[in-house]
Amino acid sequence: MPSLVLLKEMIKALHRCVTTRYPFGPPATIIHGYRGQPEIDKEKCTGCGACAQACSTEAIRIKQGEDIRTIDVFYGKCAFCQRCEDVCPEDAIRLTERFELAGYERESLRVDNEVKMSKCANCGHTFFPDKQIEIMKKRVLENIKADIKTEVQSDLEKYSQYCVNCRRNLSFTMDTHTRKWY
Amino acid sequence: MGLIDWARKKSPWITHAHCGGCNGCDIEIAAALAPRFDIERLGCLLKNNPRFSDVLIITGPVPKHTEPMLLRIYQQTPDPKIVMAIGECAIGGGIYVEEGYENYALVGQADKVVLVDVYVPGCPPKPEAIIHGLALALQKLPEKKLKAKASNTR
Repeated sequence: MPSLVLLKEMIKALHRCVTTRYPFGPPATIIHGYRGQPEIDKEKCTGCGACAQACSTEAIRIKQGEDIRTIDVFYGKCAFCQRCEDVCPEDAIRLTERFELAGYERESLRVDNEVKMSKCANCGHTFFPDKQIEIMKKRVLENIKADIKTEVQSDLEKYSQYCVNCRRNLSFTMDTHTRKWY
Repeated sequence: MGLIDWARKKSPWITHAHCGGCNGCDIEIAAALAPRFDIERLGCLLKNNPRFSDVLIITGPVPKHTEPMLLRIYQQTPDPKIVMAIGECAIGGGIYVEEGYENYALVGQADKVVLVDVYVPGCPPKPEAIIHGLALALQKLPEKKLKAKASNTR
């Protein structure tokens, strides 16, 4: 009997209000795991660009400047799919529970982060962001065996200031070639 | 504030123009009109005729075959009109538009065709976000009215 069920619901609705008081009353209820406005933690972000590669709608772009790299999140194009949060190695980008994102201008729907690039000591070209190199050093030293740690650390200090090409060219003169380990 | 301005602010009638896309935003607009988030308590009424309405809501990436219809609906809406682009497809093209690849069927974002006043991002936006966008839109009414007056004096 569907009509009886309907009648029951109608009687129930008489003594409790279904409508939310959203703009005037208490703040809106948000279920756990809601995906809202993306946010970049500027302390943690290294500027590696993993989020830009994983982004499904090209909302996250990398703008390569002279010595500054900008990670530009335009959430007017974002699908809120959380793939950037999944791939971020530093857990720097995060989808918050903010949903009131409306704005008068298209360009106001942006979240930016600028990362400083490091310069090669030999040729002077920029290659990786500063923070990414620091994190790389830390990760390598954490995961290496204890007996070769000091030697690897001295090598790391030497070649982390050169770009990829110079690193290859100068590896024998700097005595950092991996061949010495075999 | 005259009587007409007061009435316009307290009871904006809306027309919904669906321009392609996946219908997600349209369902959220329907949810905003339904009893849970009832925007009729704020005076908004969904109208099928753009000639009666104050607010034009656009959803979806605008395909080439709906572009003339959207333009016509825009021109039929009387001044001062407020245009809201809801959902990321209407704002930036969303998943349908990719830079470097030209889509033969799409115009792209809504502000390539009409002038958009308020952008409501979200994929789809919550009904609360739509209400928030509508509240922002109503704040823009006096400014829009001045503009409409200036354009009408020939």
